[in-house]
Amino acid sequence: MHQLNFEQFTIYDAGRRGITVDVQITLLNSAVDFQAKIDTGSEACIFSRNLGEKLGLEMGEEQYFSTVTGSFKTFGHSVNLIVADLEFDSLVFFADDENFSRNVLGRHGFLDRVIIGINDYDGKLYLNRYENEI
Amino acid sequence: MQAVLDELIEKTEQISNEERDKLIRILQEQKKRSQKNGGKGYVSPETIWVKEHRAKYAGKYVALENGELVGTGKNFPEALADAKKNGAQKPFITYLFPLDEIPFGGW
Repeated sequence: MHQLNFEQFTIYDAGRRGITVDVQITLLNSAVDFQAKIDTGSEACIFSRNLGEKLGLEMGEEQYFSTVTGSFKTFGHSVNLIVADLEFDSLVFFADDENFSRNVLGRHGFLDRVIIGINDYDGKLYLNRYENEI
Repeated sequence: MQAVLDELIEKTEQISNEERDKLIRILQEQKKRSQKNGGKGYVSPETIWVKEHRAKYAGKYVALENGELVGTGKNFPEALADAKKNGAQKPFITYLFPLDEIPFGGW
């Protein structure tokens, strides 16, 4: 028997495609709210370009990512990422292409710093900061 | 402009030390922004550090505090432990992708 304890709990709509959660990213005194899908297959947190522009960001660290159909260019920026009231300082990536409309919470920057529990039958997501485990 | 500056200075007399530290940090970051990026858009000190040092630490996790490297590790827990050992309070920790790899973006 294994037991995990979680500090935060949130509900998502299990009827929607993907596990979609409310996210806020902040930088200095700017903030932007949006929804993103938790994607364990993504190596990083990748957001649409307009979200970075709303924060006043430009030209961070260039990084390409691959997909099953090709690759795309992004720019990495350190931001304050807030998911289910948990706050992280993370390097996240904004797509260069303004037509890119996906927002995903991936491994580096999110999954690598939380303990996560998913009850997809009921649309329940449990979260805890990794630091709280040590 | 002088009147605005005088008002700001007067208001800083009323805030707590914690709020004052936050204000100092924001002002320092705003100053770095205008110096490093021509004032056109914001790039944080951590992002600038990553741009300048990524090649050296590619494939590792790095911990940064006040724009300086305070720890490294092969994963998040190692980098955090290294940073804490070096006296860091609230380090920014991130993984640096190798330059010659194109990581998977999902879906």
